[in-house]
Amino acid sequence: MAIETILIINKSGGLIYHRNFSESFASKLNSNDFLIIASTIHSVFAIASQVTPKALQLTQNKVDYTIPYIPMVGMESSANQNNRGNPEMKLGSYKGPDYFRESFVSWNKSGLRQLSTDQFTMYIYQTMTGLKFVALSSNVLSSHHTTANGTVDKTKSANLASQVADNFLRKIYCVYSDYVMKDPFYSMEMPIKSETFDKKVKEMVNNLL
Amino acid sequence: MSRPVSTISGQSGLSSSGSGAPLGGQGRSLKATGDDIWKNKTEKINAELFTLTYGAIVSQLCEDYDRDFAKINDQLFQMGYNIGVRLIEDFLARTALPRCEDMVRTSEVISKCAFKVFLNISPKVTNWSANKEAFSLVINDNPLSDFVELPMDAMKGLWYSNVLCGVLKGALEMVQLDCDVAFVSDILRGDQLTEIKIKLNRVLKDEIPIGED
Repeated sequence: MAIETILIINKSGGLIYHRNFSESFASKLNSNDFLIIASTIHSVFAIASQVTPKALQLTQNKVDYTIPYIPMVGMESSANQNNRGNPEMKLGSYKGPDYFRESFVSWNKSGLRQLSTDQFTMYIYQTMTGLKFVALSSNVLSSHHTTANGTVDKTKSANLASQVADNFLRKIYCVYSDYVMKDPFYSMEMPIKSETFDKKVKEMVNNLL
Repeated sequence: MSRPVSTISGQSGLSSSGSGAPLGGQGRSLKATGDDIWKNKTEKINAELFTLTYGAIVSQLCEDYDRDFAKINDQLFQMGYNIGVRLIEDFLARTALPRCEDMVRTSEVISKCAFKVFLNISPKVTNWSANKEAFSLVINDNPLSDFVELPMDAMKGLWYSNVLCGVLKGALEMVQLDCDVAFVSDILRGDQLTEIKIKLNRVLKDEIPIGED
C-alpha cells in the first residue's frame, strides 16, 4: 500500500498536519486547498454517520468493530535491521519490536472509514479524543480488477487494506502521542511543526512500500 | 492470547455491578491488559530519578510562592492538568480501550490500566457514592512521595502529590468526562490513607466525537 499523503485533523476540523510523500495529484494542491479538504472531510465524516440507514442502526449492536492486529505494519523488516547492524529500533517510549500487538476495537463506529475512488483510496482513523488521522493511498480498489470470483476478492482485499490502514494509522497515533504530545513547545490544537515526528512518520510510510 | 485471564475480584465486589465482564482489548481482563502493556510495551525510567525530580519541582514551587501552600496546590494541579490533556493520547494510543459505559468501568480502567501503565501501581477503588458517580482511589505506595517528609508548616496546607489530581482531571476531560478531582487525605500529612476523590459532574455529551456510536 503506497501512501501518498497523511493528514491529521483536530477535533474541531482544523488541519494540524499534512505531508505528501510522492509527486502525485496531492502535491499539486496548495496548503489552503488542504485546509479546505480537512474541514470537508470533517463534515462529510459527520454527515456519513447521519446517513446510515435506520435499519442498519437498529442492528448495529451486532456489528463487530474489532480490527485484527497485523504484525509489523510500517515497521522496518528484521532483514534490513540486521544489515545495518542495528537490531533494536528505537520506538520512543514504546518497547519494540512493534507499537502494539493485540487486536483492538475501532472508536469510529458510524463515521466515514474508507473512501474509494478511481484515483485513490482514503482511510480515516478517529480517536476517542476526536482526532482524525487520514491516509490517502494511491492503491485503487478498482472494479476493472476482476478475477475468477471477482466480487468476493474485491471485498476481501478492501477489508484487508482497511485493516492494514487502521493498524498503520494507530501507529501514527502512537508516534503522535510520543513526539507531539510530549513536546513541551507544542501548543494543543495547533499545527505540528515537530521535525522528529515528521521523520518518524516518513520512516513508517517508507517501510510500508 | 497466551496470557491467563485473571478474574477481577474487584474491591468488595464492585466490578460485578453494572459493567458485567470487565474486559479490555482482545477480551482480556483490564488487569491483564495493564500488566502486559506495562511489562512488554513501555520503556521504563529510573524511579528514584523520577521521585527526586518531582520533589525538586515541589520544593522549588515552595520557594517561588513563598510557602503559600494554597497557591502551590493550584499550581501543581494546573501542571498536572496540562500533563493530563496530553497524556491521555498516550494512554489511548497504547491501550486502544473502548469508551467506558459507566463510572464503575472508568474507575477500573484508571486503577488497573492507567496507573499501572504510567506509575506501575494499582490504587484501590473504594467509597462509592450511592449513585455510583463518585469514588475514591486509595494509593498505598505513592511513588511521588518516597523519601518525602513534609516540614511542619506544610503539613496543614500542602497536597504534595496534587499533580496527580490535575492529571486525572485533564485526562478525563479529554474523554468528555467533567469531573472534580481532589485529595481527601495524604499519609504525608499524618493521615491513615492517601486518598483521591473523583466525582463525575457530567458527561460532556456534545463533545463526544461524532461517529462513535
